[in-house]
Amino acid sequence: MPIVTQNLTHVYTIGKQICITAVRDVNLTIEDGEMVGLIGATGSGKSTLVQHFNGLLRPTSGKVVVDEVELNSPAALKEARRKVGLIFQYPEHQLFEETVFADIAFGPKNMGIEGNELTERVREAMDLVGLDWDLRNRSPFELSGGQMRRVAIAGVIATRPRYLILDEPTAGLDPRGRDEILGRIKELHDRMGVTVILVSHNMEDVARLVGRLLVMSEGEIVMDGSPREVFREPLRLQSLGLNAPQVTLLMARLAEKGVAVRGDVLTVAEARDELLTLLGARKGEG
Amino acid sequence: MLKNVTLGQYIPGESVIHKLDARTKILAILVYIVILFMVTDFVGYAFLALLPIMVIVLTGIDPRTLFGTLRPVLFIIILTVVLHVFMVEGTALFTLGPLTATWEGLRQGAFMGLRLILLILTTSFLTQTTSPIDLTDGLERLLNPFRAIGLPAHELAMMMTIALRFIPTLLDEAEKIMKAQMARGADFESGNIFTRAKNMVPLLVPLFISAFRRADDLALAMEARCYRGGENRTRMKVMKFTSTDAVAAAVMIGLTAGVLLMRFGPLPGR
Repeated sequence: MPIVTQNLTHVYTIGKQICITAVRDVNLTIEDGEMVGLIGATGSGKSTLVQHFNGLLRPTSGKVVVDEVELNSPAALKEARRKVGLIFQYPEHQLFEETVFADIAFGPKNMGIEGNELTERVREAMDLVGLDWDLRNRSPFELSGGQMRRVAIAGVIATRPRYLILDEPTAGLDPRGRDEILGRIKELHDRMGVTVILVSHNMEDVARLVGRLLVMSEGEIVMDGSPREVFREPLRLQSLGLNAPQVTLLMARLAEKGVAVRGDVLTVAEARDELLTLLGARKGEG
Repeated sequence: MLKNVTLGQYIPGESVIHKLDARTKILAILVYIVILFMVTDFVGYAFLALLPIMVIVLTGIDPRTLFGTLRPVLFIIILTVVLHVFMVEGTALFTLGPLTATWEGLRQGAFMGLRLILLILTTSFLTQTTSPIDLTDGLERLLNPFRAIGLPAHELAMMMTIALRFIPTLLDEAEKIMKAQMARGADFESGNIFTRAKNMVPLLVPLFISAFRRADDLALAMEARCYRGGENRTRMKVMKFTSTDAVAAAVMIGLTAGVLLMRFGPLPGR
């Protein structure tokens, strides 16, 4: 069952006069089991848009439908928050419990889960984010930054959402921490069939991970397609304050100069293969 | 949802009142409060209402915003009036069960209510026409003479500036944490007062932690730029009294003189 928005518009009012349309007339369907990337320049409305998917923000006009239920009643909102897990930027800032276990258990407990089932969920969530079970009785505040972030992510995963939205999950992490977290998210998607929406600034990350890429600009979805399709238009992206991944740009440049490579590679691995084939072919000629 | 709280009510502007020295404005408000409590009748209030009217005309502040500042204390004002109406003894106006409303009570209640309204309106001018930075600067300068008896004027002013600066930041932060916890199924809206208080823990703990983290960062950033308190510190904008301040002082002296005459002198009313 998908997440559907119809003519979704959200207007922020600051004071009495100033109105800012953060999301403008968005019509979107996110299918079950998709892994979707959402990119856009700062202030393009990405965060505002995703906060509608679990009813944290209510549309100014238009509607949001999750699993065929329109989010317009308190019961529907409650249900949506169970189904749609939302992980904010710097989620480690929301940790508050005395132990890692208690913090991860907060979400499921709010949903009325207790006893063995609760322990099982916490164990599973810790396992999924790659946290050692022995850490469960430590204070989350004694952990390293990367571990704290994983505790926070586990806290949402433990509610077993069918949809998982991550807002810049790797902001402020080092490259290794970033790869680790993204790898875990990918695994969650592949293994558990969770629908993932990844909001990101990092083109390399989304190019590598997602199957579908949405580009937002000034509150509207301006591009929607596979990463390959989207990154094939580097000039358009640049005009939106974005950029294709470095390696895509490089290979496009090479192709432009007449080198026989594809101009739309997405990852370093792909570029390597492409170049190796080229070199191999040359070697064969010579 | 929390953004509706307006604490820093400064309305930027270019009027004469905006340009007055913050010290003048603080002192003027203090004088106004004192003379407000010396007034004994409605004529006196009419006289003192001249000041807010003058300020409204000079600044062009929308009177509706002013009444907005009264809203939070409206309850107290109404309570004051009602209590007076029923508690003061005198000629009966009407009875409501065991309670009797009196003319004298009504009179006195209106008197007290008016006093509160004038008090709040006028003090709100101070925060509406003075930027928080100017305000704390002015306070620091006014408190400076008391350094001799050990009052840390600069530190107090700096603390106030920092506190004011971080109110919006912390509100933003609170909203963010609230949303994050709501996404995990936290409930901040239902239950009785005790469960509600308990439900605030997931909001308050992270908020405190982040406030401390910010404080640490700020202290470090200030020290990295060689901040070491108020000693020998110079300012970019030096406060200067101008002729406008003299005019303001004259107005205040005029008001004070008027009130004193009304109370003790041969002028009518009493």
